[in-house]
Amino acid sequence: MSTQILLVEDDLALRQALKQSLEMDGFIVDSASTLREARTFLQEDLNKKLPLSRIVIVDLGLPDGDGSILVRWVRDHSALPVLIISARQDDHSKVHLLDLGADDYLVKPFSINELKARIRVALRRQSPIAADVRDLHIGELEISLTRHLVKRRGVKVHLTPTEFKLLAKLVRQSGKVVTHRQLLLEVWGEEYVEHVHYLRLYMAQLRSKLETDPAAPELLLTETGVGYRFCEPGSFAG
Amino acid sequence: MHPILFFNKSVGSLVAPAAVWVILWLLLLVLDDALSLGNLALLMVLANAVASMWLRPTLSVVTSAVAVTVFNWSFVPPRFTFAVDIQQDVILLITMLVVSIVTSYLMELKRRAIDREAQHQLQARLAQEHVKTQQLRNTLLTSISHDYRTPLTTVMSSASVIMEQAGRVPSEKICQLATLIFDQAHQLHRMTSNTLQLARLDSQSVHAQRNWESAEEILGTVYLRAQRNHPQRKLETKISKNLPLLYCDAILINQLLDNLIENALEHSQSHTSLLIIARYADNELLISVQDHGCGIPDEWKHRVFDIFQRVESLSAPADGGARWGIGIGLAVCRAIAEVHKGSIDISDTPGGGATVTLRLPVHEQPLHPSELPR
Repeated sequence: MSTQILLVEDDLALRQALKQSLEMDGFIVDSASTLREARTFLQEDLNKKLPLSRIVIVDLGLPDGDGSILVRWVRDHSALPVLIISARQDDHSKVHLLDLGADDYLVKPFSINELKARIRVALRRQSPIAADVRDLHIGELEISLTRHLVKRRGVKVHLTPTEFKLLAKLVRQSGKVVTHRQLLLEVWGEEYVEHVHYLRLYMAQLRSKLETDPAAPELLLTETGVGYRFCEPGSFAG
Repeated sequence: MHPILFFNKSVGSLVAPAAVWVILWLLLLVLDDALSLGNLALLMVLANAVASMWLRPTLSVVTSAVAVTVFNWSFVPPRFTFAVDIQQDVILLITMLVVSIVTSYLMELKRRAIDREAQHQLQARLAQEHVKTQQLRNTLLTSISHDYRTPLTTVMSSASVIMEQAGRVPSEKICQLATLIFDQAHQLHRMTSNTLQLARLDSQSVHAQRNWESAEEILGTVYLRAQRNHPQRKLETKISKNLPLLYCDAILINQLLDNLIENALEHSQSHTSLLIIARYADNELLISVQDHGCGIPDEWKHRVFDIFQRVESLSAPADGGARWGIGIGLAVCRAIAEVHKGSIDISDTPGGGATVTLRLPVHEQPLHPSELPR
């Protein structure tokens, strides 16, 4: 079954360019230019009760309201992957939406390759077999969440329990952005969600243990103002 | 704030002076037996002076006249009549009235002076802001007409070659043209971000979103982005270990460093390398971007941070790295540094070239989580 994409974007030129490019890659692309259209479309989908392989891509600035309304609506009604397109780097609503369960985000202007990479990750997470990453080999690194083990060039790397928890959270969602809040909540708990400096210090430690060059990280990537991302295994070149 | 200015704001409100008078009369009744008539009168003059801070002068004079009359009726012997037994008490009553009137008048004078001063200050500020807004608008308009049209022309002409010559142009030529369009669009994107950021920072309505950030992390992101955009250039980093955390807006600092690196790459020949250095000294975090380009003449070292200043080098190198301070890139850098109470300056790279250094203040560090080695 080929993957269907609902593209919600009001700009005709961008809609056409993305649609064309995604169709060349074998996706079936439907598009909507308003919140209403998108909601009607998705409602019909839900009514059919068919197993669906669909991804929703939403621009936050739509003519009949903020795209965040649609993101919330989708989260309330289904588990479909949702990608956010936002126009501004410092748009804080996107962080909030990621916390609420949106899958990932892209800031305009983005390249079509970035978009495709995000779609790939979202698809992998949606598929029931591969949804849960537990063990992976990446470059010279071997990470096994089941055996609580990290090896670099065959040698065991010692991680503190907190470092391991942090790494595990990122690896389980590899390729996907994980917000500061989500990380702090998982590793330290509710009362620490504002302590972003914990993450800065622990990420530095993790990088010094796992990265070849901690100053130019290839595995543990920073998403400025949003969170962190463990690099998508397929994309790793080194 | 000036105390009288504070009172001045609530002129017309009667609650405060009424409260003063109620307290006074209660005090007078309580202290009636304990104090002499002269002392009671002084208390009343004091109350009148305080009350007149809120009252218009006419109302203040009327209140004091009424107050003196009631004081006469209730306290001056023979009590509970308007008659006055002793001649001295007449002088007391008249003095009370005169002092009260003079106080009211002085209060009003002071109030007017403060009003005038405030108005002058407001006008001066508005005029200053107006000039600044005009300057910025002119700059932005110049930017759009001057720096945007060139890349736009390149984009349009490249695209029209592809459109019109479709079947006849070899595919590698099409790829070249597409690359050109992509690069020019990237350049337009950078200029747009900078123009918007400068307008936003200048309006002062946008506050930086600060948080604890790691300089190493920010530099890592900036480095990776630069290396991805310029794979053919050699970038090196020299980052000290254990740098303190910065309390800053990471998105703004990213933009600043992107600009510095893009600028340095643009103004040095493609075979030369670029060095990014980060270190801590004297409560400051110093981040330098060092190139081996044509350098900046001393007299231009300050001016390149002004909007729309460029250095036209006398000996322009072959690959055209002669223009510095393209549009507003460096002006945005300075604005971002200033938002963070930091500074930015240019010096010579030993052996030739320019070194731009950003200095950011280091705040008291947050508490470490307990598990961390200290």
